Amino acid sequence: MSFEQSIKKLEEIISKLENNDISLEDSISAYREGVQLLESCRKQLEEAQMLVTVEDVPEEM
Amino acid sequence: MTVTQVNRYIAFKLKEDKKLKGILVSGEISNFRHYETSGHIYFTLKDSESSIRSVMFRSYASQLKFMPENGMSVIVKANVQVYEKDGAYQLYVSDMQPDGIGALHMACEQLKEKLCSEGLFDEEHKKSIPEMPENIGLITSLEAAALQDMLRIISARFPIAKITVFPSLVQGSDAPASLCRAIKFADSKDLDLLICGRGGGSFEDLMAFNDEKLARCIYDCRTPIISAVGHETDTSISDLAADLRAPTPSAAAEKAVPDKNVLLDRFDEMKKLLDNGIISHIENKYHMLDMLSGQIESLSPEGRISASFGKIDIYKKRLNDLYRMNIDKAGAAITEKAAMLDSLSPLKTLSRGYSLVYKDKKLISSAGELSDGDIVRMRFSDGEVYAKVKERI
Repeated sequence: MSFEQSIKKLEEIISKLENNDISLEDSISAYREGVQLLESCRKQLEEAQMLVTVEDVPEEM
Repeated sequence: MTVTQVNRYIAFKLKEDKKLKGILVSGEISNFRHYETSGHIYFTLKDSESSIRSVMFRSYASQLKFMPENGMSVIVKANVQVYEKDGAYQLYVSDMQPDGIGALHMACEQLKEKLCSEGLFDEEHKKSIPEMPENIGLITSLEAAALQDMLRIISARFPIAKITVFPSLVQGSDAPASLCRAIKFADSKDLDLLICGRGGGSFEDLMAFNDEKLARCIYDCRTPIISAVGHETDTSISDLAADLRAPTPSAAAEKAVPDKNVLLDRFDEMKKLLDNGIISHIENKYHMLDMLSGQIESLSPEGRISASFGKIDIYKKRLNDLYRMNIDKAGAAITEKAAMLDSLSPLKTLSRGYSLVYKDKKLISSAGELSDGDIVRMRFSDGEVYAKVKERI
C-alpha cells in the first residue's frame, strides 16, 4: 500500500469509527487497525530518507 | 457621395478584414510623442521603404515595461483602422516589444496562438496532480542550481519521495530535442509525477521551452507533468502545455509534494479522531448497558417470584389449618360415634336383663318364628344357654 493509500485507508477507518451503527467488536478492531496504520505512517514519514537516482536518457528513443 | 461617406466606407471595409486584426508588425519608431496628460502615445513606424502612423492609447501604453524612443526597433501588435477625420489608416497598437529579441518574441507569440487554437492549452486536457506523489521524475540539467533547489525542498517536505533525475540540456538549439527525449523516457517509467524545467535566464536562454515539438511532447505525456521555467514573470509555451505551471523550480517542488509538518499535524488530528471515536463507542455501549439493565430490572420475575412465595406460604398455612380442623372434626365425630355405639350396644341392653334368642344362628324377633320343640340358643350378658320350646302360647 502506498503512503497516500494508507492515509486514504486511515480516513476510511475514522469515518467508519464515527458511524455509531457498527458493533463494539468492529469499532475496537477498527480502532486498533487505525492506530497501527497511523503509527506506521508517522514512522515512515519521520524516518524516511529521500532517494535520488540519476537515469541517463538513451540517445535514441 | 460625400467625403465622409467615402472614409466611412473604407473604414468599414478595413474593419471587416480579419487579416488586419491583431497583426504583428516590426519597424523602427520615429516622430515619437508621449502626451503626459492623456497618456496616449503617437508615433510613426517605418522600415527602409515605407511608414505607417501608429497610436497606442493610455490603457495599453501604461502596461509597457519599457519606454519607446525614436530610432528603436520594435514589434507591435495592432489592428489596422481608419482615422476617418483625416482619411488616414493607421496602426492601433495594443502591445509593443523591443526588437532583436523581438523577432523571437514574435515567433513565440505566433506559436502560442497556433497551439492555443489547436486546444493544446485547454484546461480539460490537464491531468490532476497527485496529492502525495512517491515516485517523481525531474527533467532538468544536472549542473543547474534548480535541481539542487528542488531536491532540497522535496527532501525537507516529503522525504518519502523517490526521485529519479533524467538529465537534459535546458538551453541551446539541441535542448528541445533533448528535453523531448527525456520526457518520453521518463513517461515510460510509470512514475507518479514529472517536473520539467530550469532556473531563470535571459529570454534567449529560456527559448528552448518555447519549442513546438516540446509543447506537443508535454501535451502527449501520460504522466502528470509540472512545468517550471525561469522566474516569476516568465511564462513559456511549455508552462502552458503542462498540466500545472509553477513560476520557478523551487515553487514546483513545493507544489508537487505535501509538507511533512502539515502531515504530522494531520496525524495528530487523526489520532484524536480515532481516540474520540472509540471512546464515544464505548460510552455509547455503557449507556446502552445502563438502559438495558434498567429495563431488565423492571421486567425481572424476581418480584413475581417473591410474591408467589408469599402466596405459597398463605396457602400452606390455610392447608395446614384445614387439615388440622378436619382431623379435629374427625376425632370429635369418632368420639361421638363411639359413645353412640356404646349406648346402642346390645350387650348393655342384655345387662339390663334382656336376652337374645337365636335359632340356627338366626336372631329370632317374633314368637311366630318358633314352633314347639325347637331348640334355641339364648344369650345373656354373662353367657349363653340352649333351651327347648315347650309350647307356643
